[in-house]
This record gives sequence, C-alpha cells and structure tokens, in this order.
Amino acid sequence: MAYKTIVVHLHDASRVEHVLEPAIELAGRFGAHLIGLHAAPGMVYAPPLPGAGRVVSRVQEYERNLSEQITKVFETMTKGRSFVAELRLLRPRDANDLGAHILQHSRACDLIVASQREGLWEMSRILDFPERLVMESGRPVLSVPLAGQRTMVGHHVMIAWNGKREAARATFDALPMLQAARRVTVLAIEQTDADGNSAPLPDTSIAAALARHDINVTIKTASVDRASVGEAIAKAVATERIDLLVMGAYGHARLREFVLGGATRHLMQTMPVPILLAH
Amino acid sequence: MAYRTILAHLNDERRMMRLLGPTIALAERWNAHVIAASALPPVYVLPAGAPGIGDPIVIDEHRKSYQKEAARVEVAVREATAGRALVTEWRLEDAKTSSVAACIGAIARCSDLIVASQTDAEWPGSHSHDIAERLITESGRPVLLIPNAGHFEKIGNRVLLAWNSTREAARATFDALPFLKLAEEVIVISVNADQDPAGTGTVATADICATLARHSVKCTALNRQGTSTDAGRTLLAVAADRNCDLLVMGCYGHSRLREFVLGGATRTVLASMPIPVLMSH
Repeated sequence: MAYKTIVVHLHDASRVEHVLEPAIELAGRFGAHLIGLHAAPGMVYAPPLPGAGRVVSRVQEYERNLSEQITKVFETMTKGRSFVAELRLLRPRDANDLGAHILQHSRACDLIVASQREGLWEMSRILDFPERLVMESGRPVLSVPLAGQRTMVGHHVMIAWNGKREAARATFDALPMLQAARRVTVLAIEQTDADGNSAPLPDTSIAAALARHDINVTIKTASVDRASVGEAIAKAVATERIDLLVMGAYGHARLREFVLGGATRHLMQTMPVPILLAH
Repeated sequence: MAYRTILAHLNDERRMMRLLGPTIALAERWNAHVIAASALPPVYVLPAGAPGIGDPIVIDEHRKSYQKEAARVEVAVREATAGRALVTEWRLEDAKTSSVAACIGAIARCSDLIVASQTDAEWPGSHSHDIAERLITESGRPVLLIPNAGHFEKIGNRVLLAWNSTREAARATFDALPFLKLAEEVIVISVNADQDPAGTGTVATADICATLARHSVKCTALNRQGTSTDAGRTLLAVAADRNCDLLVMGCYGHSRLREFVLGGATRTVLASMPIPVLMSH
C-alpha cells in the first residue's frame, strides 16, 4: 500500500520550502506523483471609490509576484527528482467559491500535505484551512508544524486511539506510514468523567488488525478526564519521542460546513511534530 | 493494498449463506482473517407507571430465541469454512442494554471491510438487526452490501465507480482500491449528487482516472450530463447496461439531531440494488 498521488498546498510564499520538504520526501519514498496547489483569489470587483482601480492593480501585482515566487521555489526544489511534480495555479473567478474550488482539487489524491494554520496567508482565517481540508476533503491530511521538526521522518509513530470512527479512519488511512515506521505505539485513551467514572478502555483489536498488515504495535494507555485528552497526547508524544502522530479529527456538521472541535483544533495548532489527520 | 480483516455481520439465519459465500470468496482473494459476528438484541424494558402496567417488565424472550438461532448460524459458519486455508473467528456479542449497532460497530471499526445485508424492511428483526446504514455512517470503514435477492460469488470483475468530486465519493473510491486493482474494468461515471457543496456542477473524472491509473487500475471515464432527478436510478441503469457486478459509491446524507438522514440517490440505491454495492461515508 502506497501513496501514489500527493497534493501539497502552497499558499504562503515565505513558507513554501517548509511544507514542500516533507511532501518531497514522501513523494520520493513512495514513488508518488506530486501536485503543488496554489490558489489566488483574484479580485474581480472594484468598489466604486476613487483610486479603486489602483488598489485592484496593486493586489493583482502582489498576487502575480506571490505566484511567481511559489512557482520558482517549487520548480527549484522538485528539479531532478525521481518522481513527477506538477504545479497547479488555481484562479477561480471569484473568492466565494475559492474554498470549494481548492477542495475539489484535493479529493482525487491519496494524501494531502498542508501547513499548520498559516499566519501570513490572510485567506487562511477566512477559509479555515487546513482544518477545512481535514473535515471536507475525504482524504487524510498531513499537517506540517509551523515550528520544530522540518523533515518528514515517521520513524516513531503514535496513534491516538479512542475506539471511535474518526480514529479508525485515521489509522487505516495511515497504513503506508505505519508500514514504513520503525516503531508504532497505540495510545489507548480512556476518558473519565467529572465523577471519576470511566468509560471502558477502547477496544484495542486495532492492534490485531494492524498486525495483519505486518505492523506490530505496542499499546500504551492513558486515563484522563475529557478536558485533558489533548495534554495527555502531547505528553505521550514528547515522552515516547514520537515524530509522527496519527489521529482522528473531531467536529460536527453545522449547516453546510464542518466545525472542528476544540481539542482537535488546539492540537493542530500547537503540535511540534507532523500529524496525520482524517475525519 | 488488501483487505486483511473482513467482518461479516450475520444478522439473519435466512440470509446468512448469501453473505457467507461472498465473504469467504473475498477472504480467499486477499488471504484475510474473517470475523463472523452476530449480536443478541437488547433487553426491552416496559417502564413502571405505563397504563395497565405496574412494575417494570423486562422482555427477553426475543433474546432467547435469537440465541438459539445464533447457535445454528455458528454451526453453519464452521461448516462453510471447514477445510479452507482461512482463519475464521465467530463472535456472538450481547447488546444487553445498548444496541446491536453499537456492538457490531466496535468490531467494524477495527476491520478493513464489512460485509452486510441490504435492509429487509419486512423482516420483524429489521429494526434492531438490519444496521447496514449505521455501519456505513458510524464505522469509518467501507461496507459491502449484499442484495436480498440473488447470489453473488464473483464480485468486482466489472466495477461501476460513481465519482462527482465530493468528499463521500473520495472516501468510497479509495476505500474500494483493493477491488479496483483486481477488476478487469472500472467504469468511472460522473453523475450529479443530491448535494453539490461546490455549487459549481463541475465534475472531473480525468483527475481521478489519473490517480487510479497510478495504482494500476484499468479505468475508463463515462460522463452523464443533465440527469439529476434521480442519480441513483441512473447509476443502477448504467450498471445493468454495462454488465457491472459491483457499484462503488459514497453514502450521502446529513446529521439531524441524533439521526442521519440519507440523501435521495443513496436511498434509491439502498432500496433497489440488484448488485452488490460498496459504500463509505
């Protein structure tokens, strides 16, 4: 089992290398076709104010420069590699469907690589990427941290397991990573409620299922109250010297969008190692 | 890419051979571990204070008769798998005070593939034991639904794959990879889904065909324009027309309070499927 088509999201020119490095490492490792995706909103509407024309052309110039920079970095970093790399510049007609447009280009792939919430990309806040990628693409997303570890190693992998649907999704989506790892730990999380009662420890038959894919795991348990699950995961990642976390992304549908749960969002924004997420 | 743990939910003695046959064939195809599972239905309690009733009444007659049926199912499983180079595990869960869906769901979440029957609304046990839809939406794993009529030994020679660039289609497609890789032909068809979140109406089969080709899948693209009155009917008609023996599609719907309401095309296919369907959500 391998990832044969990888889509990497490149939006912030100042951090293209940061998110491309792990994507390139994975493409080489799995012999995958790498697609770089860059979307520029493109302002089509000029407000009826004096000087509006100038603002529009300055924004367009800024976006042109951004796209050129990203293109240059992409071409330089993927030149001479053993795999085929392709850059797609998306220019949807108006910003209203930008998110949906990006998502449509992110579904026909085995894996998506994206940066943790990007501070400098102003559209990030509006479009809620990469959280939205996780919840709506239907594909696993490798979230690359802003700080800390840069290369995609995946030698010591940990699966945050609570027996739920999302954890199952993420685990099976991560199979190629798990098979390539040197060590895989399943962190079985038992949640206690305010009265100290605990839900039963999640079914760990996942270990047997993984063994049939030639993946041998060690099981580690954590018993925490609901509010401290994120902390328990972060602590285990540090203690076990994990370099890749696999976890389900939790949230709920709200109107036509998915809203990410607080714990998932917090971990996504603060984890110093890459996280493979699925919903 | 292979399915190495296959769960068959044998919920009904009358239909179990229809499930067991394909499950064994698929397990042999991928050298998979088989889990044949069933669950005793939960206890029913009539609460005290209801008109005409004094103390709470616990009803478990249906559990006792289901237990007898489960014993016969276990014997049938052992006979069907005897002498085969397969590891088969029989599991009889007890729903007690929860539900059949919760018990089987827990096993499903640790499996690569689930095999289940199409719902039979006329069956008295249906409301507690026909849980295919809940397995699709709650397990996070693909579910292969076997129709209530017909026998299906060879599944996946000619596959019809419904692709419309949605999240659900992506889930179903990649969950179906083991089938797609072994198929003689995979026809990728784009039909508009009930819910088209992008609102753009554009469907690109070229991208998914390229991605599948990199997994050595032999696929051809087919575009159907316009007919969005019932995409479900269109899919079934094309499948019949092209002699397909497996339909792969996403399971569409939305959550409403504690229920999951299925989309129209999904409901059409679930109700009238003449061939096995692999669904994911």
